Amino acid sequence: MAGAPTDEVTQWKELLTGNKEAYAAIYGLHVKAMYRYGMSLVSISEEFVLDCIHDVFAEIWIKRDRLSVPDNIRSYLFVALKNRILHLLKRQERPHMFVSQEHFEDLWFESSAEDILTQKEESASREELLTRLIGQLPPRQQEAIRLRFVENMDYQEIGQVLEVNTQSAHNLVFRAMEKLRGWLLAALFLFQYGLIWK
Amino acid sequence: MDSTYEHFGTVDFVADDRFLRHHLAPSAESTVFWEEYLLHYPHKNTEWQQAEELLNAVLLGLTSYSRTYLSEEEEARLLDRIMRTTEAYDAGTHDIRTHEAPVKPLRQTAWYRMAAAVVALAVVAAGYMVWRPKTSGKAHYAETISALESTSKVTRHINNSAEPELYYLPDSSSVMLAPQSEVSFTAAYNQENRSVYLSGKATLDVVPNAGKPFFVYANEIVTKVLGTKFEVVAFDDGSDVTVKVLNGKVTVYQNNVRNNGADVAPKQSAVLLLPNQLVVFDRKAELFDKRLVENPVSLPDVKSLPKFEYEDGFAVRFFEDIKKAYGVNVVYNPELLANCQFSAAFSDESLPEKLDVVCKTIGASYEIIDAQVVITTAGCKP
Repeated sequence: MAGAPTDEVTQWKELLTGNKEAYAAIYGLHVKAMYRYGMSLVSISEEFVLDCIHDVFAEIWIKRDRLSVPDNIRSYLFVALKNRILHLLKRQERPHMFVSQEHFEDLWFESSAEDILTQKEESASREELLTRLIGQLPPRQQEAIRLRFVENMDYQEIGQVLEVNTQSAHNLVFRAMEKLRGWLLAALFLFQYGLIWK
Repeated sequence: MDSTYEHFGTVDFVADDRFLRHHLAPSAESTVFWEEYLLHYPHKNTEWQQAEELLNAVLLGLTSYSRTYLSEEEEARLLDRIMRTTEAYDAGTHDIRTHEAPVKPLRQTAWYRMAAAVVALAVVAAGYMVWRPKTSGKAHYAETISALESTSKVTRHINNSAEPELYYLPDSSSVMLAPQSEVSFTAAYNQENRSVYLSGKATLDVVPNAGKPFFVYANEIVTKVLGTKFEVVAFDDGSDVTVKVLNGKVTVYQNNVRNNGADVAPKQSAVLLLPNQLVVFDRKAELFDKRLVENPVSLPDVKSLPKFEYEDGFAVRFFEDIKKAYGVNVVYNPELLANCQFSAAFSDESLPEKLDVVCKTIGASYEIIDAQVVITTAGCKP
């Protein structure tokens, strides 16, 4: 994430020596994005996400004498949050968590022109249509584009969060963009077609 | 000139780090780079622009994600909770460290974890008790402000005069502050969102900015707006809290139910307010009561205001005109009203007066239920 990285690194170093102000500053810099990201992973329970953020920061404090300065603090925190969330979800033994990511991706349906038309008709606004179309992308691609477009993370950072290499992170976004562009062109075509025949 | 981009297509651009960094957080360097690039490869202009369009489409589609806001209040509360966990840990470890011989590292870590878990639980319970909304509501505002002050710089403004005072917020939204009322905001105002905290009475005129929703925290309620004019009354003396909309739309919800931001405001306790509507929060029962304001006025932003002149006019048209002019919903059965006609010309009559005249003429009656006008009629003979 753009910003003042050197400042952030200084604060992180201060944190490691036990400086509470630096600790609170790091929290202030990242908590909003962590919350947003956490809520996108498990939107059902805000309480749960807040608990996980609490645990991540508590653990950093407890382990501070064994920690170093991460290459990228934002993606380090995202990874920690995601691990915490997955750890707690697994402990609850949710059956769907055992479908591996790759298999999940294979099970994903390719949207047909008809689906797009339905989405188009049911959407009251362009924003709604786009939200629906993005919602049709495989979950990993959705996660990658959120990190790329909203959190403005580069592919190296996204790779760290998604536990893939930089090239694969790029591929996820690239494929999402290819699909979305195709759907938007289809929607535009159907829209014009609709105008002629109505 | 970098030749990497020589054969780039739309999708290549929109998935490129350098292209995206330039659009999401442009710098002098990136601006120079892309300007030079477009000069060098003018035939790439179309792809470049299409990539920009696609980028904007993605951002629009991700609005609900990018607008998932952690309220400042919740942020302060969570930090407070984390700080207490660390304090409890710091206090506890000294004992553990001095009492445990450093022989069994595995068991020791397990112990630490358990201790930390127990402490965390105790802190959560304690935190909950401290933060439970107090029904008396006496010190609600002060409590909120002192929690905020622990994490950021808070600007407070009190109107000590006997006259209402106009006060401008950093984004030039204005607050007409009644005597003995106070408004505050933190240093984070206008960054991701615009949150103000209010005690007393104020009319707010909010500069529209869909990217930065505006929140008013007033005692137990939160009002969320995108750009509008409305009034909030929330004194710390235990009286009911009211929100009145003068223009635009606002959503009001209870503060102890946490907000998730733009699109996921808690439904069960949220109330959508349109102009001429008013909501009163009953502090004892913790309930919202939605009403029409006493004297609804026609909306200022309606382009062609209906004339309210009818000669053998259909009642249905009159009710539709009411909807348009006052932004008030009118519930009626169009089939029953199909044959109802009347003649009348209104000028300055109030909404109830107009309704009275028309309803009496066509033999119907009306009631105002939940801020809607509900028409009861047996129909008219053709």
